[in-house]
Amino acid sequence: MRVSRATPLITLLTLMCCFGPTFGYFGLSAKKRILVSSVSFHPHLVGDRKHDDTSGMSTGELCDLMWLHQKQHRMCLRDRGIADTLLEAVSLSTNECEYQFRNERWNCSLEDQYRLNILKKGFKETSFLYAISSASLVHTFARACSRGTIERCTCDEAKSLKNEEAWLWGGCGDNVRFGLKFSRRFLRAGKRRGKDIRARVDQHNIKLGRKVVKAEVKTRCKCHGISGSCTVRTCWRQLATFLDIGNILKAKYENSYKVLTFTNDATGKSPISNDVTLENNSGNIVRPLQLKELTGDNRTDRGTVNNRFRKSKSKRDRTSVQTSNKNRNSDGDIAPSSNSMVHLEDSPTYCEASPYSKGTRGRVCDKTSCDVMCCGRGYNIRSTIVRRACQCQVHWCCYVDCKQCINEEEVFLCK
Amino acid sequence: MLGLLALHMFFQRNLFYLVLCCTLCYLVLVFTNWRNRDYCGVSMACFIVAYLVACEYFIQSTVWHSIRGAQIILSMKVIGIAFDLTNGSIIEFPDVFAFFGYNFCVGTVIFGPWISFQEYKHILSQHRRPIKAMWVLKIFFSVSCSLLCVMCSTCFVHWLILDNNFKYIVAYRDAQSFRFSHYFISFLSETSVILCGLGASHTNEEVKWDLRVSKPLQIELPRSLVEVVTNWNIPMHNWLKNYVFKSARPLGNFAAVFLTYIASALLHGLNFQLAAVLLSLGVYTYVEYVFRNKLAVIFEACVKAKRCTDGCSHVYKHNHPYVIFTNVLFGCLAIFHLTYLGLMFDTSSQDEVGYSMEHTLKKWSALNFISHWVVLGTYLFNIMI
Repeated sequence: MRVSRATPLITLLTLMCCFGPTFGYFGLSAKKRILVSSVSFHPHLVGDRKHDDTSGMSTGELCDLMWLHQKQHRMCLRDRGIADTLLEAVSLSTNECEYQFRNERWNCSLEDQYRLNILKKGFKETSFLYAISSASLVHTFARACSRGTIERCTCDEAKSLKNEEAWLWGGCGDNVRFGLKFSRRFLRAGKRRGKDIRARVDQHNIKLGRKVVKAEVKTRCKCHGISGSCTVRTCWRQLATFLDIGNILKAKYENSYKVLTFTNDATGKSPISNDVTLENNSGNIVRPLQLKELTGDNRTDRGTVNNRFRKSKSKRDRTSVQTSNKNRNSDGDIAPSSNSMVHLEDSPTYCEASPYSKGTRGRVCDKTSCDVMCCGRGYNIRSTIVRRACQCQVHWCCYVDCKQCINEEEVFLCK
Repeated sequence: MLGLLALHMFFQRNLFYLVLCCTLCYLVLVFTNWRNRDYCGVSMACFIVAYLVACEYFIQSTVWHSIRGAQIILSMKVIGIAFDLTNGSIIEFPDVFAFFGYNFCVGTVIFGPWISFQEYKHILSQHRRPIKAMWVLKIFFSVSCSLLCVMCSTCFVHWLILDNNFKYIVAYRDAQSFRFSHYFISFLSETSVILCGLGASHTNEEVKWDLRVSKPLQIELPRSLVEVVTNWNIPMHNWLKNYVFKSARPLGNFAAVFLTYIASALLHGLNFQLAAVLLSLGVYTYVEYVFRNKLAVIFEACVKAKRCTDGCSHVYKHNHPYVIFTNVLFGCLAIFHLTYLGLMFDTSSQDEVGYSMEHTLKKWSALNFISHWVVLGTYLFNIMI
């Protein structure tokens, strides 16, 4: 069955080669349609989701649903747990993206025609999609390991925990290491190694998503001892909630840097300024501290002929580059590092209907967000009659009886 | 020797402080013994206090808080020996090996409960100590209790009561977690001391392994705060009673109680939080004791802070409904006070370096110092009757 699927994939690959940037990432950044959960709810309010619609399917069918690249498909087929977790990762990133952008002009609507168009360009939103899909992969796999869903991994082996005198139990920490390793291999399996700037930016954002998850792992300890002294400590590692990670990525999205590149093919010499400069939100040009990070894999940089993205260690004297970096340090300028999000193009306003979004006409907003969302057009107020369940009572045993309350509520809609 | 090895496993280089303390104490003991036996006790006590103060200020906080527990035990042992020498319970002066062996006995060196020097020598001089079933049973019981308590303290209470509840319930949870952590350590110490072969009472050639360090049931469902304080750490309570309370008795009842709590606070290290809790406890227990005594006299009922013995002269004995009701009421009040006092020992970042004054006051003011007001009210009520 897989052989017959391979041929269309290969043809697709060859076609894609001609069209530029990369192919087949995962989740929100997948170039194919994603599985959108039919029930939209906020993950922070509900516990475990039951995949009722998918429990009857076999592993192969599940993996087929997700339109994966060949190597990714192979990794998916290895374990039923992996397939389930991948689905969970998609839904987690979907929900989080919708939640974070619920009051913005672009509301992370995942209808394929808009999403795929956004992915073709290098907007801030694209960067966010890449970052959050890789972050959700790491997060769900780390959690799934400790839950025991995946056979290939177990609890955190705690190799990196310091072996101090009084660490007694490791408990069952979230296996972040497995999450990172798997997501790195999975996403690498799905992409075609690109050397152009778009590929680099994408890789940077994917790495950023992973980094955020890794950085937010907290070690919590409790002291035991006579009268509260700290003779014995029990510690465990905890992943931050995905809401925290979503908040952090949103903040990075807002402070995302735009990459401006200079070509210097004409002179053949390195220009006065460094090759890559970035522009931050207020339009100031800042120089990056660590070019190495932005140029992605150092290994692929060696011997690259493409002058658009030259390494900092160029013909230009090393010392001057380094001193300018040092000056940056001491100046305290806001300079981007490997922990910032980067994007290539300015985003459209998303106010009107465009290939990238439906626009904000008719969207529901609330008092605080209407000004921004409606782009100054104003809003209509509509009174609707809403029926809600109220005055619920629990009867023993065991049903809940609710009355229906009819309220008139005001709904704000953008013009 | 085994004790030193155990210490090394736990504390690595920091055991140096304990060994230093022990050698210095021995020197002080020898010195005062040579001069004048009567002053052994007091001088040792002063020296220990000075040493504790020095440790509090000169050693790095995390280190101090990890060895504080073992230091307490060591202090109690040393002061115990000194006072016993003074009042004649120990006739012959302990030699170096006995002294060091007692202080660093592996069963009691890290968590261990305090055992007196006489008990230690008595047990060491026993020749036959067969391994009996009761011994194994007791160890098994202690180990399982300790594991249960540590799981309760770290995991269960946080699963049962979440952070978004009513603030008194959250306070109860934090205090409960702290208490279970204490029970864990107590049971662990019981295990270690019984494994070592100590901690049994020998009556008529029969060995009963009945050492209990703390009794959780009496603390979770207390009769009164006095009972809580007594059952929190029974060996330490005995030590305080024998060496501090009895010595200070001539100064008057209130002064003796107050001095006992001050001694306890000093022993625990000069930490503001612990001192505040202990002194508050001192005041609460005193007020409660006096109040309930008065009530017992007025109503002639068994509502005293301590359980009545069988031959008490009250009209209403302990199975009368009113008596039961009153005792339960006082029990609830004790639980409330316990919650208030214990809630500061939560898992915040200051765990390892000792809690500061601001932390304490912040936690207490979050509950508006209500417990202190209640006690004040009780005292005024007491005066008025």
